[in-house]
Amino acid sequence: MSVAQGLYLSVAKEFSETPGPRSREEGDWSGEQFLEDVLGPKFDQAAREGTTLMIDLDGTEGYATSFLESAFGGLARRHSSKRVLDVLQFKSNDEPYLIDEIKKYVNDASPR
Amino acid sequence: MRTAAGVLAAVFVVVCVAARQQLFGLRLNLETKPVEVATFLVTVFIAGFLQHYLATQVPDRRAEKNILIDNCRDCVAILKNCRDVFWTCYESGKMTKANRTSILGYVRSLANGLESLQAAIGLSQFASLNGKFQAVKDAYFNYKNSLTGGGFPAKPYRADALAEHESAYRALSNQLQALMFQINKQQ
Repeated sequence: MSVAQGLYLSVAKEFSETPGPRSREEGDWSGEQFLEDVLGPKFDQAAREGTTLMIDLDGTEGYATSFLESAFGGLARRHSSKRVLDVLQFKSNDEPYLIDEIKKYVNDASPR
Repeated sequence: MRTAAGVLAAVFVVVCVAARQQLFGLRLNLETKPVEVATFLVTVFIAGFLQHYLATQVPDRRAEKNILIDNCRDCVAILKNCRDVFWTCYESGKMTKANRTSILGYVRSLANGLESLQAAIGLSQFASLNGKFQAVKDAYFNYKNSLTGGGFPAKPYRADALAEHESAYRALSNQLQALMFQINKQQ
């Protein structure tokens, strides 16, 4: 019996160790940039393949509220909160509260 | 304590001697009544059991309360550090890389301090208090938003950030103080 392996995304390795502000115009490594260049395409791939996407949040300097809301809240506005939470899984040993925080932004985001 | 026990023993001996000598109208009744003996033994057992229970349980609970209250104090101390670094940034009107690193570092310490506190409450005899922890968590998310939301870290704090920060700071501080009092009140 084979077990389907989900996709994996490490923010520190595949994006930046110093995640930045909310939008591209505010500076480098923004939540908007992360959503459009990394998270969005990976999420679409996972959704197409009917698998999960594990987001590894460890190894960075830390996450600002603005970055998290822009990236994960933005993803929920594109799709829906339920769909995002069905596909995404999280790993955060450095700061376990980040997982609840992200889920809060996803649940608070309403599709536009 | 020893003096009181000595006085009671002395009174007991004096009364027994007086009853044996039939002084003051006292008399010794040497008839054995099984029900009274059983009642006496049960009373002695309850007294001994209660003493043992209180002697072991009360210090344990006090020690656990002290550990949890110390954890709360640590969180309050980190929260004060967060406020200090906010003030430094706010007064300088700049958001340097060092400021950003410092703020994110303190916010992470605060989050992990609260997480440790929540875990410790769950492991203690006061696990029912974990139901009240959501309010602390919500206040923390709100406080983090006041520090790292908006234009952070691209822009310095705006003038209205001060009021927002102080309000969120007070709310989280009050939640932690209330939690400390609730821990202390636990029976």
